[in-house]
Amino acid sequence: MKLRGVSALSIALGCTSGSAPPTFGTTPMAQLTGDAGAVHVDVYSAPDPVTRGNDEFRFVVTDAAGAAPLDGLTLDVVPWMPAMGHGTSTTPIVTAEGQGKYLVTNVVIVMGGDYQLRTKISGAVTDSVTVSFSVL
Amino acid sequence: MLSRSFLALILVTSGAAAAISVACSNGTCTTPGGPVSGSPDTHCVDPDGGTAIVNPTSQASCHPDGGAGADAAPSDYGPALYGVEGDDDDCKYHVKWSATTVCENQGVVFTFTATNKVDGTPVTGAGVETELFLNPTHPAPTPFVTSTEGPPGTYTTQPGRFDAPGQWTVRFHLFEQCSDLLGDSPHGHVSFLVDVP
Repeated sequence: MKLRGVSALSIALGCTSGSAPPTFGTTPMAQLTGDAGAVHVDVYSAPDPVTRGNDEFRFVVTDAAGAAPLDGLTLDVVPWMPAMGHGTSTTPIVTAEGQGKYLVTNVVIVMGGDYQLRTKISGAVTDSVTVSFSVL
Repeated sequence: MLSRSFLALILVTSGAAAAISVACSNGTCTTPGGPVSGSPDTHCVDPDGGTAIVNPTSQASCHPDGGAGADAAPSDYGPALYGVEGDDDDCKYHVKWSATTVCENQGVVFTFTATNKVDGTPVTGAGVETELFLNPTHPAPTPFVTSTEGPPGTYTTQPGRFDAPGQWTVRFHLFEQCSDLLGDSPHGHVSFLVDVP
């Protein structure tokens, strides 16, 4: 029994592709009011600061007062490099987590530079925010 | 004489090693993949007159004065190309590539050469980064690999890994740190299709 356990562990260690669940900090990388004033959005990144590679974000969307979490929204997140005039090769995946939280995965940053996450919010409210950050 | 428990340990350890070997597949595959055949790249040929489209570059346009915070005109990456050579999306460079044996879950090293379309000279100092993805929601486990240059204009990448069979896109980025605000910026990209069995 013990030996089987060791074997399974060895196999797992030998082939893991390292996809651990994201760990977000407690301090948002950005705190934004929607362009239309309908929402407040706190944005967290993992890792923080954002690095080249496969990055993940959590958007916490509340009403404009920052009091009530807003669920059931659709977030369309487009990574963009303003100085390059293009986005990234991959498309972010947005997963609702409840309590106003939306997990944004599959944001693949290949090059360093200034980035934006151009985000359109639709559903019970319509708004947009732009998250700006730099990657070394 | 070996004890029963020691024999069991050897058997289980061997089994685990075999399982790792199969699962990670670091050897060769029976039918390796490679570039996808198709129509040659003609996006840098003027459809009206058939003349070549050649755009010069200038290092002075890499970080233009007053460019900080400005927005470049939107541009896409252009379609992925067939075969092993073609021109970058902006018709600045002519490029060729080759790869070591292409098998699923095996480290693949790419060799990439680029010349300036204006005069055929090697494109040096481009700091080529190579991006691998199966589709927009499936990047490679290591989504990009860096490269080293040598001889001038030839770039050899770190090993990249295709973790699923299918038709992948390999995108080479040149002078990625340069902004693309000006038309003659050295910044450029070119993509090719790669079959992974």
